[in-house]
Amino acid sequence: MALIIVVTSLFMTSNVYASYDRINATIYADTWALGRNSNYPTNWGSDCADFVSQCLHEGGGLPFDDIHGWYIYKNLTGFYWGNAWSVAKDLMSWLLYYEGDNYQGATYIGNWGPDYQPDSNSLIQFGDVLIYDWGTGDGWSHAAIVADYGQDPNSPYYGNLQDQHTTDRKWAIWHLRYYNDNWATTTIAVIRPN
Amino acid sequence: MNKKLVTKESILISLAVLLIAVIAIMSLTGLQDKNKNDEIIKIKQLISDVENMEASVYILPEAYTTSPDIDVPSDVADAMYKRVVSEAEKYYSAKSGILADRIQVLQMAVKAEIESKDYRDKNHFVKKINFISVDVSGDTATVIADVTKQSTTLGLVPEGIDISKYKTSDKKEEMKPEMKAKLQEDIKNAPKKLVTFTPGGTMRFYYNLAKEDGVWKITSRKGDYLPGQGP
Repeated sequence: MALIIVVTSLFMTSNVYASYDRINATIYADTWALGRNSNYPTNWGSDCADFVSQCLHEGGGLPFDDIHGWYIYKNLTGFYWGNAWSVAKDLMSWLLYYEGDNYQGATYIGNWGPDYQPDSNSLIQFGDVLIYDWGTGDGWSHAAIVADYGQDPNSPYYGNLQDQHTTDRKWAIWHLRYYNDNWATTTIAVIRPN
Repeated sequence: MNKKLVTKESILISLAVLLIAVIAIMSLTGLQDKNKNDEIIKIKQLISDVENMEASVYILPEAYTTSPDIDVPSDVADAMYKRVVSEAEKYYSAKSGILADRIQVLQMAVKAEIESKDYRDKNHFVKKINFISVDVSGDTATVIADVTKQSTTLGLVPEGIDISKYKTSDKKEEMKPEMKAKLQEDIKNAPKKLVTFTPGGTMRFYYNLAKEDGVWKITSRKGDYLPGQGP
């Protein structure tokens, strides 16, 4: 009887957290950076947050959070999803402000303004989520995932590399300067799922 | 009692009154349309001017845009910061928070141009504006427009780095800290090459405007890249 009480109380007082598998998240990101996984909607024009969410869920192992809008499901009529899954600023809020029964939230590593975005940023790790504010009044509006370190194959830059959708890129330099005519007004936030 | 109620004269008078009324209404409507069209022209010009300002106000004087590593004297920097304020005040309403926001963002852009020693814009300009809608209602207006911009940007990039030398495994894993440090050291010591980039993109902007002392001012402006048109 005592054993049953001890075991029961253990289940009642501790949560079983899913810990984020950041390497696996980057493997998923590299696999689908330039393609579309048919288990998810394939016809979204702006699917940057959806892609990062897929990386966190499929690769990183984070479970859906139905209560706070980080989910996507398919039924007979098609897909339905929450804003935290598909909108960059809502994904950012979900990562930072919610912890579920089985999800430990995330750590805000910091944000980097346009005056200091070194090619190699020692505070960034594989699997970190990058959220971009172009400085054009729309706030945090683009998401990507840190996926490697080395040379951007499409630019002459070396450093932390990211994968992203909407404009599909694999291993682009994390600050995107080479591709971004608004680089001088762009701020980038770095968030690390736990 | 036999007197006719409807006479030729009364019909003619009624028709004349009706005709005058129709002409008056048409004239008034035409005048209103003309006034509205004049306002739309003014608003389109304002949007065009503000986007040209947004693109170029933080670009350094020509003498400092031939290479990213040219130092910018503090008096030049101060003049740039002041210019941002005077230019932004021309277009943005001081009654909403947007003026202070834009000054902050654009002054940060000046700082970025000055302090990023390996990257600097030579120019940044509006290539095209496509107005989706301009709706005027009294002293307020809303505008939706697709704005295409492009820059010519100079970068100082390292030459002769073989990245395969620093990867110690084919497995997906973080580069070892000592190899990262070696790569960074080698990049620092490598000869640098001046390269030119021309990034560009199209953003959809949503604006709100209000008339202040008879002049249109922007009270909000939000823009994001169209799918596939961004970095």
